[in-house]
Amino acid sequence: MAFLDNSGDIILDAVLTDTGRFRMARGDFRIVKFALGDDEIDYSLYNKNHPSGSSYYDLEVLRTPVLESFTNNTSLMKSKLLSISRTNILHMPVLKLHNGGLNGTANASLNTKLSGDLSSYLITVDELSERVGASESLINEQIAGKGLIKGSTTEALASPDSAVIAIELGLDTTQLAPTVAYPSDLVETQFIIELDNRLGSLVDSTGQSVSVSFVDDDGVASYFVGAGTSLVSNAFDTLTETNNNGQGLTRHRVRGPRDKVIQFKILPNTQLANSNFLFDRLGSTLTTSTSLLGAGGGGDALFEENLSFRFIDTFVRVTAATVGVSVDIPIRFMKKV
Amino acid sequence: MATTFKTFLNSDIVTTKTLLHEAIPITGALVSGTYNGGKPNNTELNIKNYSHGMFQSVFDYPYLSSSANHIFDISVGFSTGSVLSGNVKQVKRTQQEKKIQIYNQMAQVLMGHDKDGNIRAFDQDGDTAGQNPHAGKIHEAFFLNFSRLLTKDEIKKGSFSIEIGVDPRFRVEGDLRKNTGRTIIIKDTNAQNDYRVNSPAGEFGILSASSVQASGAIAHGRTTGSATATRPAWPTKPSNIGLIFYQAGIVVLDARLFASALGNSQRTVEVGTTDNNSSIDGDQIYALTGGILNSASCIMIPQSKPINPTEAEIRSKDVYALLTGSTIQTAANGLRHRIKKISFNNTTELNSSVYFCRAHHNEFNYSSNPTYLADSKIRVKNIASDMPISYVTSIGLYSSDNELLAVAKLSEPLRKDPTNELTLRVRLDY
Repeated sequence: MAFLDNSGDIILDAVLTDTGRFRMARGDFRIVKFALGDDEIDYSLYNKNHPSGSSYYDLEVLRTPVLESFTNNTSLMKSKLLSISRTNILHMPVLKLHNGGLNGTANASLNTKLSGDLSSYLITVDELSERVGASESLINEQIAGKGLIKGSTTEALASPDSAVIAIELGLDTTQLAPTVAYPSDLVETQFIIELDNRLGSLVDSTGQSVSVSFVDDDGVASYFVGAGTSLVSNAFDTLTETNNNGQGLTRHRVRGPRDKVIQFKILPNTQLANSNFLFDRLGSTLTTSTSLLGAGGGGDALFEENLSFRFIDTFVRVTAATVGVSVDIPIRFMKKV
Repeated sequence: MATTFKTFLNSDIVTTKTLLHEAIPITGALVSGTYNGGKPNNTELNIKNYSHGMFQSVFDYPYLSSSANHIFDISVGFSTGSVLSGNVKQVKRTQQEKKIQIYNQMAQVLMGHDKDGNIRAFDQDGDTAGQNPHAGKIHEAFFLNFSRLLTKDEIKKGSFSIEIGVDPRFRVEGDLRKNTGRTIIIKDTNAQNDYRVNSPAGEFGILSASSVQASGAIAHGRTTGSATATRPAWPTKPSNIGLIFYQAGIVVLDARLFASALGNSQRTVEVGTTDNNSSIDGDQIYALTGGILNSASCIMIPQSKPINPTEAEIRSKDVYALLTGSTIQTAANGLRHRIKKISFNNTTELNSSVYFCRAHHNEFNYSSNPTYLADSKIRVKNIASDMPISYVTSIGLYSSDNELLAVAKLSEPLRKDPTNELTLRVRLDY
């Protein structure tokens, strides 16, 4: 997409998205609300120390060139502006991947770490890819904490050694203690989880499937998850990262006041187990080695050496619907060749 | 409570209708000459002929290229009531059935049927209720069917113009249109104030011809009336030389625009024999209803070298000979090679919904942009009492289930803080 001409009057470049056209063809095109976005803005350009004064703080921000509209509905409005009546808010919540908790001191019962070798969650799609034994794929059963989600069956998926993806919402700052009350006007009530519907579906940490809210024209499934569901819980604790007065270490990665934690797993689509089509079209192959997922090396020694896998890299997007923040979690579907 | 969406009120949505006009110029060189190296007998790469032979298509580029756009079609036809029609004396004309079929098809769509279900002939002044069903009719016509790509919703009334070379001679090697000795311009003059609505295909206007040269290529002053010794009944008037159907994007040109109006050059057609310029036989000779040119009739068949035709040569190559003895493809070539310029304005009717996106002073002052925070602290603030600031670059329009249906981008970021309010007007055209 080109940039819009910003040399003259301010203009608006408006287009229907692909979903809008689809809805128009289906006969239920109806616009009822709007949101404002600032996808192109880099707020780090806001210079509060500009020597010429406050009128110049946002000089660089206002010079930001703006791209033309995309028509892909999922490529736009990534970051929205928020309406909050209070103007004295200094800290706002962020979504953070739990990834084992702060400094890796998480409670062992939370198997939430990413694969250290690939900075991604690995999801095996069939039993062959998970088989235990030296002559098979997995080197042993000590897979907890290595970012592996066993997706061959719902039983394997629900097992404790199968990783869970956990995301925390809170004020990630050391300027506010975790014991400070979380602002009531920033409390989240709903999360939106988006995932490529061809590749997998959402389940809770016990393997129970979650109903999909809708699948858009690009095959992206959206799951609206309310605060009262089994996927969402309140904060684990209000402890800090240091063991103050012997109270123990926090299990959280968010350092300040915490709101909610959402935990889920991904069940791979059975087509991935039964067919290589999507792997050939969307993915690639890798061979385990001592430096990559293989036995004998450091990091995540999950598999024997010299095993070949097909894989597809994608991501899951988690958005806090009320406060608007989102995070993309990388995942990799793997299938032994 | 933080929110990212704001619901439109009824007063925030307005629907409007606007008309958009584009100028469409079509040069004669594009219609003939550019893609045949200036040699009329060479293959013209932007002209598509079909095995069915019913019409010819003109493209703006060699039509085998994916870059080519179809711009218009040319066809020709005459009615069963035409003197040229072999029906009158049961004589066979070249592609007679196809020419009649084309005429009837166009007349049926554009003029409709009379009370008895018969197809109405094209009428010179649009008065289909005239007392004499045979008077003032266009029985032989060229059809220019413009593509929707050019006409869009309709041709703008009063904007159509076609300039045609009508010099009977052919002196310049290359093309008939290059002989600029005599040209006429055919326009729908004042049609924005004077048009007809009695066509089933929408509104139509009357085309009139005028001379480009001061000396005049047209025999002005001819009027309707009874036959005289040197003039047939109901001669053609230059002010009624064709019809233009605005919504259909079709121009009907009376074929007599290429024929002479002069009494001593009145064309007669002998049917029943192949010899049409010899002895007079009252039973076999039909006088044509006359043309508009203040000269001899035009030769209509492109020549490979300059000629200054004799009367006999003209008679063997004029528009009547073309209509009776040539294929539709050849007739289309004849018209095409005399077109010097076509221009009109098209009209697109835009139905718009205007959404007023109002951001009040206490709305949209914070952002969920990942760069908005550093360690969860808002970057644009030092202390809590500082004013929150955000910058708008996009407006998303959503359905009730939060699906993004349309999006608008600002050409530059707009600052939003509690001291200002924005009203962004987003227009969606359908």
